[in-house]
Amino acid sequence: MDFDGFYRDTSRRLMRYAYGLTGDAGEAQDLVQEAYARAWQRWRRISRYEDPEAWLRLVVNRLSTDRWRRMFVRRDRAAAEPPLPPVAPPSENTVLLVTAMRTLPPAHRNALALHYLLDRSIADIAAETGASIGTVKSWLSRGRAGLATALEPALLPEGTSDAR
Amino acid sequence: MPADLDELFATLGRQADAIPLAPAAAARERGRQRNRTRAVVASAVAVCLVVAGAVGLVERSDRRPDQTVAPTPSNRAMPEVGSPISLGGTITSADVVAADGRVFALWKADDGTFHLRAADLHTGALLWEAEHRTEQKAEPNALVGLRAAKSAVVLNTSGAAYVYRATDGKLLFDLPLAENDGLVLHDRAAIRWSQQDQQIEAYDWLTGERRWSRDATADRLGIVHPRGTLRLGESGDGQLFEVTGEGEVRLMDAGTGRVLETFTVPRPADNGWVIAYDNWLIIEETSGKNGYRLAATDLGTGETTTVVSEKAGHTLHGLDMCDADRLCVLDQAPLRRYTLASIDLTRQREVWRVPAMEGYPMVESDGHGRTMVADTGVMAFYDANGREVLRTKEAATSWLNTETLLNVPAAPGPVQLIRFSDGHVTTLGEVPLRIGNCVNTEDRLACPTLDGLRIWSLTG
Repeated sequence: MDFDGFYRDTSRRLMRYAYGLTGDAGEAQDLVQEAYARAWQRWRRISRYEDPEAWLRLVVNRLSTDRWRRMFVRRDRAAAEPPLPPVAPPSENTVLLVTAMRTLPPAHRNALALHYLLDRSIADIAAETGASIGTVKSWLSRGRAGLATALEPALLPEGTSDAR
Repeated sequence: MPADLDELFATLGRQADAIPLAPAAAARERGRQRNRTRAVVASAVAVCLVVAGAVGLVERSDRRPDQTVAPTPSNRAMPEVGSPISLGGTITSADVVAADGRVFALWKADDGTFHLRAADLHTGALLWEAEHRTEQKAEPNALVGLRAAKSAVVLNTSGAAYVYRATDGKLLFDLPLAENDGLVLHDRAAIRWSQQDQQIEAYDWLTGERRWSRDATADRLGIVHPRGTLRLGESGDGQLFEVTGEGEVRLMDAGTGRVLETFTVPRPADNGWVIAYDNWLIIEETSGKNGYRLAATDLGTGETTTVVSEKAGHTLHGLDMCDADRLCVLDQAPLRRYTLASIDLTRQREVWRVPAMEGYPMVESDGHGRTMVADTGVMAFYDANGREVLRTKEAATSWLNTETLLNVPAAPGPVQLIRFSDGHVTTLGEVPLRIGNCVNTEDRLACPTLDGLRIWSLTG
């Protein structure tokens, strides 16, 4: 598998995931770049994985909770790395949602991001995280309940819904 | 306005789809750069996962692997020290660091101004406030961080480090930093290592004057510190190692730059690890598809011996010093099987080896025989004999002292002390939602919250 082709095919999805976990465009950009940089370092091995994209999500997930990386490691970006174009400010609803997401435990946040942003089924999430189907259902249920509590009642007047 | 989560997430997804992506070449370049700097950052990475995660579930994994002990609900609040110190406005995140009895909080206002506040950890009193107005437009990728040294606190921005006196917040000096420069906060000097020209310069903490420098060396791999310095990236005990690609090591006095000793070690492998711990220098001699080999140099004698030799298919995934002369190695075998091994460096033999969790684990030790292996949201703790003593899930768990672990929830919930010897959990009280990572000493916990910077007693 060609690294550039893999990047082209998967990076947009990874960006969705990173943004869902962090709620910060700059942070998400950096996480995605960092994950692919690490994948490139180990590409011979990663490319043989059955699901290399899952490995990238694992890296993004771990790094998103990594204080040291947030504070210092972005310094290690290559000097030649050009600045990216500015990012449009998030909508009011997005701000509300990411603020609410930040109040959730990482497992709940991760399950919600996989489910709602990447359309992963409960079985997929269970396989990826190594958790049972019941645990994933619990994460999603508790995550939704947490969001409902955190979001303004005016925003979710009829409670949360789960279309899938 | 959307009324359900599907629509809210769809909006968020569309927002994410509009975020510009760098080209694949940028990731490759970053990977190349990371390879080159790996020798220096390797130890620092190992400490990352200590602070990862959220509220803790504690599991005694040696005798009752299926039993999970949920956090004990508590109606009482943690005993607070002083009153919340306002962080101004409605900020959503802040960083805190602590050193020498003080805690420092950093946050960025909407107008781009950085705000700093310092408080006394024992009384909770506000000590000083400072602010730094950046002249640059806000950069989404700009790295900002706060680091504490013995006598100063350093605000890292994307282009410079600003050094404030710890006692009163006076701006002492600023130090320009290029994109990939390293900054080591040594007790005796602030040391900048330029990756561009490979020059090392040390600056006086109080005046900002350059105290010493070392000229560029073409094959300089970097500078590494004894344990306690590089791992935390903050302070050290007066020594600094300079390592070249040919395996020449110069032991330097960090205060003067004077070379105290020079010795030769095996030439490090390309992209190999070179890490210094107390009395040992660990070098990855070979790596790649044929396995890896680790050599340990006794810094007292200069004698080097091979301590680990793994055959083809094995990868060095992480390492840390788990006791005075014990090296803990996290090995990855084919099929992503990980094992944690303890190596006696003086006898050059493996003491024990146990299976470790799958995923993408990291290893870190408390330096007293106890070791943690962590992956996203899961941390397993091992005693000096390699017995998995307990496991925490989704836990922000860190060493409080040699006997106790500290669990701090990310969501509102109970702070817990976990006795390492038997897993006994003591709930201290509830803390509110935090908006950044907390810091703690043996008797204090400080967290940024929506109400401001709050300090609690861990001893009642």
